[in-house]
Amino acid sequence: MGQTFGLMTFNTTHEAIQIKDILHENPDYTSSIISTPGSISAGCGMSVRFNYDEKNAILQLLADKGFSYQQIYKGNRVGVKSTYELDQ
Amino acid sequence: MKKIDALDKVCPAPIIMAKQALKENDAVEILVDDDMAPENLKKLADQKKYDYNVENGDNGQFTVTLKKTDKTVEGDVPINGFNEQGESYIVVINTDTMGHGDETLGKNLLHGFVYSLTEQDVLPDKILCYNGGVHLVTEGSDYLTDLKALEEGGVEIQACGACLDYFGLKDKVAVGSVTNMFNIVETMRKHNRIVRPD
Repeated sequence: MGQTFGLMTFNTTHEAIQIKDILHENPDYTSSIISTPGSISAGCGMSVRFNYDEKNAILQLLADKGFSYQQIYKGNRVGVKSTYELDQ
Repeated sequence: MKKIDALDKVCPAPIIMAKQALKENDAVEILVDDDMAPENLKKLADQKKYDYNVENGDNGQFTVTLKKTDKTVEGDVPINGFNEQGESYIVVINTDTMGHGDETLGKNLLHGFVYSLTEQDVLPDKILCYNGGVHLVTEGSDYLTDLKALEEGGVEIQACGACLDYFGLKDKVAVGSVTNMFNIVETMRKHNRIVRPD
């Protein structure tokens, strides 16, 4: 077992920053912007890391505001290493 | 055996004295009273393959003996190479953005940098924050979760006191400790590698 979290990827860096800003405006959610892990995408990119328990609420918020994302991953962190599986 | 009096000398002076003496002698006996000295001399011994012995004396003094062996590594070994694999490093954060070109991108890149630090196989020995970098360690900063994780991982986080004072943040430090320019310079010169997200 480790620490479970969600990771949302985007088509562009601008989208990632925009969504991070939207989530940061809402104190209900715990999120941060991180560099997209190499195991998910060989290229660069930024992703939004969030509390997996808040996934549905966050997706609803983004849908209400008309924003899209690329993929959602479920991350599991053990020690300093995180692994990811496609969530949907 | 060469005898060295390193009483009242603080690290890294006893190590430098021992290294100097071992250039011309096969064994040295060093009298020290800095708590850190025996441990740091042991690290030197491990690196250079010296026989190491320590005896506790009175008044917080220690007598450390270093002897060359047939496995001893001649040549210079960095005195600050505390990490035996030579992977030791410190991180300096001197602004709240990373890179030049776009401030918004830079702020978000720095978040990625600090988070990626938490996932490194080898964590830095220290993170030094000065000038705009001190904003990361103060109340309300959205770096606190990652910085606290690094601190729990054994990373020492230090922020420049003069800088905190300049920004009116001296009472707002939420992670790590406050340091001064002397210690910042000392830390920098004692480490071989400084990583800075410039």
